Amino acid sequence: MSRPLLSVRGLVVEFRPRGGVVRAVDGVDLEVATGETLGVVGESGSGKTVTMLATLGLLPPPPYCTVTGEVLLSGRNVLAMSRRELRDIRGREVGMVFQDPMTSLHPSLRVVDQVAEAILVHDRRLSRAQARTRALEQLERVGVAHPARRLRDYPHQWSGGMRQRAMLAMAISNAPALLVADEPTTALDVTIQAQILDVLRTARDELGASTVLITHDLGVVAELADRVSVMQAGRVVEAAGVRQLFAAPEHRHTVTLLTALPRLDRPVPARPVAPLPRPEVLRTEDLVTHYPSPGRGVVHAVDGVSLTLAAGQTLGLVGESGCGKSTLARTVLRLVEPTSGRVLLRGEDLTAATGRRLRRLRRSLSMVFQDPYASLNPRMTIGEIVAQPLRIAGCYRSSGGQARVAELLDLVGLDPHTSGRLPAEFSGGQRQRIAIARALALNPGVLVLDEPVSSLDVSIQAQVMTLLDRLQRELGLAYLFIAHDLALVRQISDRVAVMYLGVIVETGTREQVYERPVHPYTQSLLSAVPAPDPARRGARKRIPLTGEVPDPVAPPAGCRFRTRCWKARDDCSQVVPELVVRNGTDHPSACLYPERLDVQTAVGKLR
Amino acid sequence: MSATAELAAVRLAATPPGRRARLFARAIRTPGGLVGIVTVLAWILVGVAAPLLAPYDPFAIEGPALAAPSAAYPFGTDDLGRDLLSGVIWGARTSLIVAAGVAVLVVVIGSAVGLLSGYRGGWVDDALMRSTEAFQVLPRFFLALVVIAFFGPGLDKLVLVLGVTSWPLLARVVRAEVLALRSREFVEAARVQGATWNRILLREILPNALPPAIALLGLVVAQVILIEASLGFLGLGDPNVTSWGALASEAQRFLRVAWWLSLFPGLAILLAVLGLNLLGDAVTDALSGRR
Amino acid sequence: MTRRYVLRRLAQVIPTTAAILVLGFLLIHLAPGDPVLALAGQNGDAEYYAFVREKFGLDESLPSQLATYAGNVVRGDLGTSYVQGRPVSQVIGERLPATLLLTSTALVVSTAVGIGVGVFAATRRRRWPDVTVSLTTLTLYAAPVFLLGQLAILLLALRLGWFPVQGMTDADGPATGIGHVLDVAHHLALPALALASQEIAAVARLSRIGLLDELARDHIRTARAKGVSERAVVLRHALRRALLPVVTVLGGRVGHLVAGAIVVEVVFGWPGLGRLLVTAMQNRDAPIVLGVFLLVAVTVVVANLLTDLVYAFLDPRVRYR
Repeated sequence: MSRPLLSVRGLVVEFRPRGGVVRAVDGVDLEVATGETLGVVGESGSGKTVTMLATLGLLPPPPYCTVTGEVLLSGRNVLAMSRRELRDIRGREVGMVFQDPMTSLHPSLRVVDQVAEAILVHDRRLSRAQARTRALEQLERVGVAHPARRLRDYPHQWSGGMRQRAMLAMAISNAPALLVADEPTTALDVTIQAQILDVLRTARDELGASTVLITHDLGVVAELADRVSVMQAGRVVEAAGVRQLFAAPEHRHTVTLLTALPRLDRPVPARPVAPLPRPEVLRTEDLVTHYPSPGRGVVHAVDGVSLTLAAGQTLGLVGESGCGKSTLARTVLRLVEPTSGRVLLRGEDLTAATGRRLRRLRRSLSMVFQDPYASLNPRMTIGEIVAQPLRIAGCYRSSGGQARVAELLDLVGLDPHTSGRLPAEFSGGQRQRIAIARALALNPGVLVLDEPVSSLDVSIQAQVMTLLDRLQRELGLAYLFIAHDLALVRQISDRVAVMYLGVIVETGTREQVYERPVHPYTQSLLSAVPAPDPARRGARKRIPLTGEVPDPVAPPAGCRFRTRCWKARDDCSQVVPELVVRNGTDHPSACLYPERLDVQTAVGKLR
Repeated sequence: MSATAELAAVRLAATPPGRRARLFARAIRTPGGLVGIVTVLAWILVGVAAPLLAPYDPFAIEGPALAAPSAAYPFGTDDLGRDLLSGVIWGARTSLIVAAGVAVLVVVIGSAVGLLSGYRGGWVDDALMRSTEAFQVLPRFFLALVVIAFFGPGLDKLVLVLGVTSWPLLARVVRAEVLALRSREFVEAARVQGATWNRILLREILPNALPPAIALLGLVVAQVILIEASLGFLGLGDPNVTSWGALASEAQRFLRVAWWLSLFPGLAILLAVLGLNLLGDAVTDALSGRR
Repeated sequence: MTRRYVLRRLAQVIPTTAAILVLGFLLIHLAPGDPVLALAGQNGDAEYYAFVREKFGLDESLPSQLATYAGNVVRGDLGTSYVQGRPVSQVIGERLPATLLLTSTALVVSTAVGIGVGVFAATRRRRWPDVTVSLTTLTLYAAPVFLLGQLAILLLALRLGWFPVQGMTDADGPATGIGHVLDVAHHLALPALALASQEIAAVARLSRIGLLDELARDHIRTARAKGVSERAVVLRHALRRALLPVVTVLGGRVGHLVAGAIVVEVVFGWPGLGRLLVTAMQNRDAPIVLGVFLLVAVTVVVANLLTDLVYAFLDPRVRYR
């Protein structure tokens, strides 16, 4: 290996909030050779982002934060550079892309001008107009269609994917030798993630730039990195070539990350066979939820959804953000009133129930929310939180009071003695356990889980999933499991429904949907998930989706997916495809031209 | 409407509720918060115990006219020989009465409007918010002048006019809290469990909406004290009680010879307002977690 | 800026102004005694009272009285001063320029200096210049304006003799030309400073917090990562939005400043609305007081309108909503 482009030695970063020192990075060594891509992997709080910010001198100055160690970029020590020298390398020798494209652009400056500024600050001889022309070229290069027509646009007029392209355009506009991308696709949907990763890969290859890719997602690393450094608690615990790391991980933490990761390319354990008969516990009939969006019109969030859930089973509901899956969950629980349609709970109409009957029905239906920081009242102790459903139902005493609370906490793996503490004293994973305990207080038969683990780190995620699995077996619960993570849904579901823009486009058993998907949307979704297997990089073809999800205020006529579908024909815009079993398929899909396709080996008639 | 109370209102309304456990403990642990709470408590104590603490009757002619501060008259005397220290102590009581009266009105009206507006939504919300905005642009000081001009001076009228015009900021913050909390997942969890709206308002929303309202209340009351002082300074306070503003207005004629007449009442106002601002700011900071 | 936003915002001014008029009307009728006294003063003769009664339609129903009253006020007829026996608008008009001069000077000075101080402190966060600024502004902000005025007179006028103690001009000063301007400026300095200091403190605190909040945002990190200089990061990227809170309260500050001006004018013998108001209050000359109230209230409404338009200019998301 020639002299590394970037070399970090013994990097230590300490933050000093009032009255304390927090060591965020604790002696990190990294090396990136010219033209090489280094993946830096770790869970939240592992110090991976702080490491890269420190490397570029982007952390706040002392006394808030002290950085020691050595960072050599092309042989020069970055930590010893003056402000001026730093300014000179940033954006010119090093281009950066940050995580959240919604907040990383200046909201009151035009997008094109922001890209032009990146060019202008490093080449003062350019006129504004010249810089703008160059900016348009860069935007075109990263796949922004007709940037010249968007000269006057502000960031809020662009979608997340488009903004991340703009960030990328800024980062590469001065042909940097090093590209640093910090969780560049974490805030994006999986189909948009696939697009951005493609653009990132192309840009890197065109520039021949070295790249540091910071991510929690081993799939992304497997697709792009040459070498990987795994971080935990401010240290690099393992560094290896990407193939070696995935094939033979050495450090315990790496092993944990790899085994905890739900993945599509490995067989999943069989689902427990629920005893027959399996009565239907929850059914939605042609459920429609529209709500007004001020100044825009009516949002068609849920537009005719019929689902059934059997006792003791899991129905997985997958879809990208904005597809209406959360609104569906909220409608089922009557947090939102449906526009039309019915929800039947063990045959009783929940949508028509009111007063006492509604309260009685609600006892057998419960919910676990996505954000464990928002779903627990910060002013109640966890004992009060778990006891609350019992108190509301008026059966706190009759169900055993304190003893029942202790029993519930024990059930979800928490120490019953902690019931006097406030939620703030618990971690995200523990909070989600508290939320589950609360949901189980009244012995409901059905649990609606709305992205229950998506805010948790992958190792914690695995623990909560194991808990959910155990509870289902022990208590015979039925789950409506809603998530955007396809691999996660596959792991726990008996049946799966795929949602797109307010409608179900495909539904079937887990095996049917994951192994023999017939709807083009399901197929592209599955193909877009990065496989955490560097050995098969390139062996698998993507089915790239162009564009983004249309506005649910005005969904396309006919088939809703046709605007992004590579198979769309004339009649797709005229006929609304029913969710039925069609010729040559074994399960219902809402496509006029369904065909079987094994996306893992990946082929099909692509454009 | 003063600037930083406005800003606090904006910051508080923009802060998502939650993560607020042990808030006051945290606020008071900062230097500003500590000084604030001590000052405010001292002001309240002096106001409440004025009859015990004041060495003389503030209206009684006790000593030589315009005597400089001394051991007998620590703050000096005015042109009639009245003890200034006693005046300042009794003035604390007047400002405390006005502040407490206005605070009660502001809390009652502000939280009622805020809760109703945020909870009912729709046209009720629209109507209430329009009138809140209208009340907010009213120049309180001048309205107080008009009321005094028409109805004559008096603490009761002052409390009334400042009370019914000082609630908009509080209403806006409470409304923002209720709106944010209403769609908060822990409130939805309670709804899923079948909790009644009363229970949700009292058990889930109110305890979380209260801290920002209290933080703001301190800042609003601080403004009210300044307005009361200004009115007193213009000679428009209640003639039957001693007030800091009225004391300072006497100083105007004797600036050349008796600096103490101006300094001590002014400092008293400054300290009370400073304490309330420090306290309000500290709680706001602890709530919005910035600075 | 989109025209629709401007029009919509303009339309909101109407109900607010109407509400202020109704309030004035209500106060006249709630006041003890015959409303004609509140409008025409106590020194009029029967004939004059009849005239006013006729003009304001006081014998008609309340709604039609309201309409007449509103019509008169909109035309600038605010009634007649008890004491001076002249139209209120004329009396106010004579005193207004002096108050306008004082408040506008204080507004400009406090905005400029306040922002400067705020930026200075924020860019030296929690180091000694920042701490000093914070303590000073906190104290100034809590100080009643008459204390500042009296202390300024004690120190800068009486002790040091740098500035005149009272009034707007010297009795023997030049009445015209540059000499007059300088004379007025010399007299203006202390009252304007006393009036501005609390506002400087407010603006400084606002812009400091605004800038600190803004400098902590992701897009600032993006700008730094592009290689933008720290100076441009603050001036071009951060300040624009950091000043939004300063803009937000601008409308409210106008009302606050005029109120402060009244007190300052009394302290410094400045011949504006302040002394007029104090005399009017002593004589229970309600029409004058009500007239000033209406004037200030409408000014604040207009100031708020301008504030919102400036805000929309600075934050494009507002105008596209």
